[in-house]
Amino acid sequence: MTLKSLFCLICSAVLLTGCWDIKEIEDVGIVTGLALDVAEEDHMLMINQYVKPGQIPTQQDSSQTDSPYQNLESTGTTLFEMIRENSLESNRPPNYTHLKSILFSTRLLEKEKLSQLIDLYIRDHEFRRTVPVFITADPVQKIFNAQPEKELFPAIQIKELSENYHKNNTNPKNLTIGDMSQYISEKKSFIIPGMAIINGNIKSYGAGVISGKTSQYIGWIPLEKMEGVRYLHNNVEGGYIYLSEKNIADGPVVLEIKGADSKFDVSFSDGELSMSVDVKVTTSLGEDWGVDRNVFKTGWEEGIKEAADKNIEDKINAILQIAQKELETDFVHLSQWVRIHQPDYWNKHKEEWDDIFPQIDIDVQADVSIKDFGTQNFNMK
Amino acid sequence: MSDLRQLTSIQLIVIFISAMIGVGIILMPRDLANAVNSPDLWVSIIIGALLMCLITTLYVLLVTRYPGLTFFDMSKKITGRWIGTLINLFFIFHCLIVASYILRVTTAIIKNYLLDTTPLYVIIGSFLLVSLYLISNGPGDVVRFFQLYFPVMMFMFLILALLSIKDVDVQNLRPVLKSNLMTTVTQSKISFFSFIGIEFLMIFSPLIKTKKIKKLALSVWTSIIVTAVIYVIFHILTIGVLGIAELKEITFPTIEMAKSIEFQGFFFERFELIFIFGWLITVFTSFTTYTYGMILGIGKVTKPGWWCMAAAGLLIFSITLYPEGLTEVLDYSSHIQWVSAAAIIGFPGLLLLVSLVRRQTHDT
Repeated sequence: MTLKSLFCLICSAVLLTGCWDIKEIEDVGIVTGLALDVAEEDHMLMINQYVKPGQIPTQQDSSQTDSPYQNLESTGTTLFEMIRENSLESNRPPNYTHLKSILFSTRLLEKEKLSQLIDLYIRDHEFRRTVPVFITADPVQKIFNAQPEKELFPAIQIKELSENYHKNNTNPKNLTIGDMSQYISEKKSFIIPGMAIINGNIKSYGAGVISGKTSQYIGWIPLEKMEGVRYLHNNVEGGYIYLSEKNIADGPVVLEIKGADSKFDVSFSDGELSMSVDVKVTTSLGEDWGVDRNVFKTGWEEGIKEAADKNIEDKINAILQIAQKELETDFVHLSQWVRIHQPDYWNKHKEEWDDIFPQIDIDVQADVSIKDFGTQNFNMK
Repeated sequence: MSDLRQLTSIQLIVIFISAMIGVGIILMPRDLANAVNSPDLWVSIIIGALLMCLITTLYVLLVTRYPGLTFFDMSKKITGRWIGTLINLFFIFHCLIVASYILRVTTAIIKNYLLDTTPLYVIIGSFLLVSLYLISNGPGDVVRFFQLYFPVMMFMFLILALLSIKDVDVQNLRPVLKSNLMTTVTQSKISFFSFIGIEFLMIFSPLIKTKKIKKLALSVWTSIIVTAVIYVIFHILTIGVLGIAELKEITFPTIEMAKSIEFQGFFFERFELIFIFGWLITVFTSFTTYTYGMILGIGKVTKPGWWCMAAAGLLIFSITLYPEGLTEVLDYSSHIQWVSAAAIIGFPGLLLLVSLVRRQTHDT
C-alpha cells in the first residue's frame, strides 16, 4: 500500500508540474506592428515594432523618458529569414500573437506578389486571421516612426483610425489578413486601406487597389473618392453628404447619414449582362446654411433630396469609372452578384470576368430620404 | 467493475453523438468544399445522414435478433468459429486504424495550436494513457464519462456558433441550390463517413435491454439527426465566415473560423484556445469508443485480460506514430474509408443476410 502511494506521488510529481515549454513573459519580444518595404539589391526591408515594457508610462509615473517601442529593421529575401535575423540585434525572440497591424508599401507590392508575401502569415498559427492590413505610398519607416497622438504605438494608431468607419464615409473598413487571403484564393481584386503621413501625423488616406490577376498593386483610390466604394461594398453605416452651393441653390447643406442599403440586380438578355445598383440612404438634416427653409411645411426636402441623389450617383459612377475604364478590374466585387443572380452564366464565364467587367452597363440609382431635421430650425421668412 | 447494467435511450444517444463527432467536424469542411465546390455542400451532409439512417437499420435488426450479444459474438454465432474470427479481426483492424487516425489528426492539431515544441510521442502517449485508464474500469465508466462531458461539448459548440454568426457573410452562402445537384448527391459519400461511430450500437448491445425495434431505431436515428444538425450548422458557418474558395485551402477550417473571432479588450482575445479544449473532449470520446471496441474485440478473439489493453495500446501507439507527416495521414484517410465501408456496411449486411437465410435467432 505504501509502495503504491509512493509510486503515485512520484508519478504526480512528474506529471503535474507542467510548464514543459515555459517562456517568461518578460523574455518574449512582443511585436505590435510589422512593416514591409523594398530595400537595395532586390532585397526586402522588414520593420518589427517591439514593445519596450519598461518604457510604457504608468499612471503614477507619467514622466516619459523614451519612446515605448523599438523598431528593428532587417533586410533579406524571405520573411522567415528576416524575422530570424532579428535575433542578431535582440535577445528576445519575436512573438506575433499580439500583432496589431501589418503595413505594406506600394513600391513593394508593385514588385512582389501579395499572395507570396502573405504566405507566412496564413501558414504560421502564431499570426491571427484578424490582423488588419494597410498600404502606404510613403516609406514605411516614416509611418512607424511617427509620433502617435492618442496611442503609444504607431502600429496601434493606424489600426484604431479605421474604427471610425461608421462615422466617416471616407474611412475604409478594416481589411483583415483573413479577408485578404479569402480574396486571393477567390482570385478577386480588392482594396487595402491606405495610410499616409500628412504634416507629420498618420492619416487614413484612401486605399490601394490590388489586382486579382497579378496579385500586385495597380492603383490608388484618393480619399475623396472613397465614399463610392463604401456604397458599392454596401457597408455604409454613417457619415455625411455635403451639398455645396453648386449642388443646391440655398446651400451649403449637410445631411447626416443614418443608414444605407445597396441592392444589386443582374439581368441577362441577348448575351449581354447588365447590372443595376439601387442605393437607399436614410438621412437627417445635419447642418443647414439656407436659414429660410420651413421644415414644418410638406415638401421642404424635395430640392435637397434631388441634389443628394445626384451627389451619391456621381460618387458611385466615379468609382465605377475607375474600376471599369482606368484599372479595368473589379475591386468592388460586383462579380459576387453575378455569381448569385446568374449562377449558370457565372460558371461559364468566371475565368474571363476581368475582360467582361469593363464592358458591362451598370445603372446606378440613389434614393435619399430625409427623415429628420433636428430640434430647432431658424425660419427667417 | 462498473455497476451499469442497462442503458437508457438518452445514454444511448449521448454515446452515439460523442462517438460520431470527432475529427470530422474539423476536417470535413475542406474535403467537402473540394469535392462539391459550391455553397450547397450542406445538402451532401443531409443526404449522408439519410444514408447512414438506412444503414443503421441493419444494426438495429441484428441487435434485436441477437439480444445481449456484441458484434464479435454475433459473427461467431452466425458464420461459425473460423469465419467469425476473421470477421472479428477485420473489425478490430477497422477500430485500430480509425482510432490511430483520430489520434494522429488530434495530435497534429494540438502540436499546431497548443503545444508547439512538445514531442509527438508525449502527446500521443498521454492521450492514449488517459483513454486506457478510463476504459480499464469497464463500459459503465466510459458511458458515465460521456454523459458528464456531453453538456460541456454541446455548450462549446453552441458558444462557437453564436460567436461566429457575427462574422458570417450571407453572400458567401448564396446562391442556394443552384449548383450541380449530381455532384452534391454523389459527394455525400464523404459526409457519410463522418457519421461512423454509430456502428458501436453492436458493441454496446449487451447493455441494451430493449427488444423493440422501433424504440431502438428511434434513438439511433435521433442521434444521427442531432449530429447532422450540428454538422450542417458548422458547415454553414464555415462557408459564411471563410467562403468556399478559402475553405479548400485551410488545413483545419473550423479552428480557423474560431480563430477569426476576436473581442477587442475582452477577457479572452483568443477564443480558439478555449474551443480547442472543448473540442478535445469530443475527440477524446470518439477515440475512447474505438479503443474500447478494439480492446473488447481482442478479448473476444483471444481471452479477456489486462494484456488486451496493453496490446491495443501498443498497436495504436505504433500505428499512430507510423506516418511521417500530416499529408500522409490525410492521404490514408481515403484508404481508411474503404476498410470502414467493409466493416460497417459489408459485414453487418452479410451477417444479417446469413442470419435471415438460416432463420436463426438467439434467446437469452
